[in-house]
Amino acid sequence: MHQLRFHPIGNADCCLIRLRNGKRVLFDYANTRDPNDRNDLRCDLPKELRDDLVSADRDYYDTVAFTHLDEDHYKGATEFFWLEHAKKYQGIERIKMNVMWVPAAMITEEKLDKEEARILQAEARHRFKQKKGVRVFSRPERLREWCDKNNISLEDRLHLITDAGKLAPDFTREEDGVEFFVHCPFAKRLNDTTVEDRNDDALVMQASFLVQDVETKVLLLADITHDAVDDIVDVTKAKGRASRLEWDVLKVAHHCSYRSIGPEKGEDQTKPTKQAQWLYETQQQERATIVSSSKPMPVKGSKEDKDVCPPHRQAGNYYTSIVEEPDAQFKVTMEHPKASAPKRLIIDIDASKATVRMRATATAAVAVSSQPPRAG
Amino acid sequence: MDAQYVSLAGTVVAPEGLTVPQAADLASRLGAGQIEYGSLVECREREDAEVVVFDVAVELGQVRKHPIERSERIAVEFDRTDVHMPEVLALRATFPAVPHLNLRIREIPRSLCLYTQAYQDLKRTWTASRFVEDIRSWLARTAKGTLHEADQSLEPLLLEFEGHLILPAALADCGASELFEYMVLDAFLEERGKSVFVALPQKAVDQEKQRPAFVASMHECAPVQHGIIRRAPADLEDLCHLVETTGMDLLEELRERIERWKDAADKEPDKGTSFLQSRLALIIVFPKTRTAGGVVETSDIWAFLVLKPIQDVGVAIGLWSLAEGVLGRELSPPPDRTGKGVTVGVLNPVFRVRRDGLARLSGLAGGSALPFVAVGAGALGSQVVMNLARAGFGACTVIDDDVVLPHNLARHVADGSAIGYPKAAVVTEIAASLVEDPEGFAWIKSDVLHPGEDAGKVADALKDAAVVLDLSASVTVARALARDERTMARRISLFLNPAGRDLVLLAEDAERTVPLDALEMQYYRALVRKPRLAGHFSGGHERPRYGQACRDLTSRVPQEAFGVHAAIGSRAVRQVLDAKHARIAIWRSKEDLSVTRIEVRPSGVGICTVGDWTLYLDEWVSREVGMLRRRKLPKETGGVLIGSFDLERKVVYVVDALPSPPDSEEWPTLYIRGCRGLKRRVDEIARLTDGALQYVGEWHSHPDHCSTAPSREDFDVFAWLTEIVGMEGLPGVMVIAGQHGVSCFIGALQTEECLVPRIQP
Repeated sequence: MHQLRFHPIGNADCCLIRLRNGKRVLFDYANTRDPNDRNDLRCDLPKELRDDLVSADRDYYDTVAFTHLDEDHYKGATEFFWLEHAKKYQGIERIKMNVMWVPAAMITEEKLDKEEARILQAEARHRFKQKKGVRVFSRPERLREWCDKNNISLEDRLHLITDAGKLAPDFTREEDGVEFFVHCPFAKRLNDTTVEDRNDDALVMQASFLVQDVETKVLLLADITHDAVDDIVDVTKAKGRASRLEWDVLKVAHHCSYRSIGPEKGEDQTKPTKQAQWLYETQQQERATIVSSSKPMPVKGSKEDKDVCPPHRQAGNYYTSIVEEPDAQFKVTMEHPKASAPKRLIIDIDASKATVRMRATATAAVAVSSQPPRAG
Repeated sequence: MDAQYVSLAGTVVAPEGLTVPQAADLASRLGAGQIEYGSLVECREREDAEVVVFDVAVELGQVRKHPIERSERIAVEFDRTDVHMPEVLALRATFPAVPHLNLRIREIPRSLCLYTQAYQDLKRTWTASRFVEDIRSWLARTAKGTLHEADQSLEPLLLEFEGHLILPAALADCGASELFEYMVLDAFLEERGKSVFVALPQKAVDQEKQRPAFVASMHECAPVQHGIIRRAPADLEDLCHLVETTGMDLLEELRERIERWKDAADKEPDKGTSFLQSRLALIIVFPKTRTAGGVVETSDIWAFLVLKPIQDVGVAIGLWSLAEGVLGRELSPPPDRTGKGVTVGVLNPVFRVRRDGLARLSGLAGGSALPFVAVGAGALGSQVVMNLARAGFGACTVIDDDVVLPHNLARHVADGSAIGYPKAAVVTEIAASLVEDPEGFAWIKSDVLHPGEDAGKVADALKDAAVVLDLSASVTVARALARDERTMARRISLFLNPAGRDLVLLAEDAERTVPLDALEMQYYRALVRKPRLAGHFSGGHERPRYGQACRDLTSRVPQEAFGVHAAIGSRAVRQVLDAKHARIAIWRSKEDLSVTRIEVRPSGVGICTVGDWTLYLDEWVSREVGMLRRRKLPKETGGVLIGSFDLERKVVYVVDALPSPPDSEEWPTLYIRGCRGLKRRVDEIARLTDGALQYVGEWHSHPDHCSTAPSREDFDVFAWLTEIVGMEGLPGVMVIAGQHGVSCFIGALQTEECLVPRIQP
């Protein structure tokens, strides 16, 4: 059985993927909790992640993906992970990243204003120069200028680069029971000779799990906007790969922002673009689950509702409207199982596809499965 | 309540009005929102029970094996006496037929079978929240189809039943063949608790004169895809209706059979009346196919007990009428006489086991058809054979010439009723009685060494065996079996030391390169060499007398020691048979009831024949003298050889070599053995091995670049040696260790012809 774990960390992302063979992939990391605030309902992320690794007797992740360099996707990462590029980020308590997954911009971007982002960029660049422990998602040519400037050979590093429309080669269905298809970053073809790279794009992937011939598709949308959604849909459809945008589990973009659905917020419900509607509605599989990694949905007219930041009530209403309760579900990380006491959202993936776990906390052992205690 | 739910009897009460503690606890916690994923709907009370109704949210995947819904309404009925398990009912009218439901008179609402434990065991840990979680888990796993094996039938489970019906295993395979159409039942009736009925196939009881108080009638319907019996039948008429859907006319089949059987019984004196007074069990076989018209893959077997005598059943199904105590046959059954009011109870069918079944019950893949001969059915032997039989070993011939006497009962598997019977027969009978397929068990009351008129039988058994298990506790028997030419079988010995503390296993390798007698010698060497085996032969020499004859002696070892060691021994035999290599192992049970294992690594053995004599010299001895030689180079060295003579079979076993005594003279070209401390050491060895090992000869070394052929001096030494040992009629043995191996002399001759061909270590 594979498992997804979405952590309640407010408007921030951290999804742990536990594969059936024990491998672990982390999508983003954000330690947002205020340790001095006893009423902070966000989870102690480093502790949760460490507990999981200890239970599996591991001190590393097979892969850690940083979808883009926004703070709500990396906060505290430089304190949690073992970084190769400098001794000061190494220590036995730190967790190793066997492979970092990063979008091209994380290598090429020049003017990062946050200290932690610069450290992570230094790490990604270091690994890229060292030719190991990193995968850069990009059109290869896009990295040439940076390589030239740094006096390194792009040709020597092509095996570290995966373009959109390809599978990340680090995982295979045969060995790992999962494959990751890359949708973004991608280059938009303007005409026969010109392509345009989208500099602000984050890492968007479809993870497709296989258990006993049953396929479960998980779409991880990072923080992309509806423009990117439109382009991804157009490109993928044009290539005849519509199935790569099917989903049983959707991690919605940007903490339930309306801008990932359509240009207008709307009064009560955001209206999707044509492409977004196709992605969110047509491509949704039966009894699917939508996950919003965000604060609770605002009540209409409340202070939160007037906030420009997500989550947007109108976007939530749109997502709620497209799932057929009770069989399909819209889950908000800070509301699961209840807004007053959120816990990590666990989704099991097995031959019955995705199952959102609903277990009473007090009861660990299930008597149905237990054996009589004595034989005689 | 909602129309989609089954309505319940009883009056609605407030949660506070409940009096059964678990019911009150469950309702109040649900009402207070203390139970995750559960919400209270209502409470009801009835004369016999209190009912808590609530909704649960169910964990569901996208793909569902059974259509369980996100929210299910559950009613839990708590018996006022708190004796029975609270019954868990799924109230949704459309709740599917799934595995692990209880069989009730009503099919709907379905009754969930949550626990395999008894209620009194569950009560100790029962909490309301855990109970709700167990219900939710049952629903979640049922939806996924992981509660039970994928191909488990959908038949409901028996919550209550009249009794167990034990059926032949063959019936499960071949269905309702004519053999089982009519069976007499051995009944063990219980006023309180469950009765037991044992079906005896007809041929087994043909000769019996006792009246059949219970008979069984077997019926088989046409193949079906799904289970038919989804609820307990109210009466015989109801049962006939239930099976009607398969096309079976049970009523008509019953009428025909009862009439036929009565006619047959009437032909014999007294039997007719007793037949009418007997009770009837109905066994109905439902062959199952995966797809419509497909191959029959399994059969569901249901059994029912008709709770009235056959005479009353005949009346109720219109075969005859009773007027003033006289039966009058009906010309044709009146249409209203279809079994109404004839109560039937459900029986729980249980099949007898075969050897494969025993093996599976022992956690093994299957029974063993490996033919083996067990020689010796004494205290250890009888128990080892029984352990193997219980693990599904079956093709076994037990050879023993003894009979069960009263003193044997302290340790033997036999019970008091077996006194006077041959031990071999007793063990075989008990082993064969375990299974429905006892073919392969055989016994011979005979001495394996002197079988007399049973020689042919013993020889045949040995010839066909793949394994000869020596359980005789006799060195003579083990030695004879080791070299027995009647069989090619692998030989394994198991015996206890005299005090009953140590179990010894000697097992030949599958290729038989190290024979049993060589392993025996290596075991003696271990007694000398391994300090952990100290005391092996001490104690246990008190032998109580059980009869007046000179040899009527037995032991004082308690059954506990035999039980422990028989268990280890039979398991060790199974381990040996799973591997190919030879094994010597000793298990020592201690006063604190712990058991330790001492493994002795078997050594390869060289066997040579010179004249009348056969010499066994194992690689260990060659290595030992080689090592002692190298340590003293460039000087020569030597010492004495330890071993054993078997004068009956003219075998000499060389088992050990002692180093040079301190008063020896060691020169580069000469060695004269001293004798300081030697006698004490040789006596010690005899004591440690209960006299099994003794002085057998001399060894010495030659320098590098010299042959191991004897020198002039060596012939003198050999002459001296043969003169001394020759007085007892024993051959002299001399070993010369050289740079490239050892040479060995044996016999009374003083020429080179007596040189044994070189044995390479």
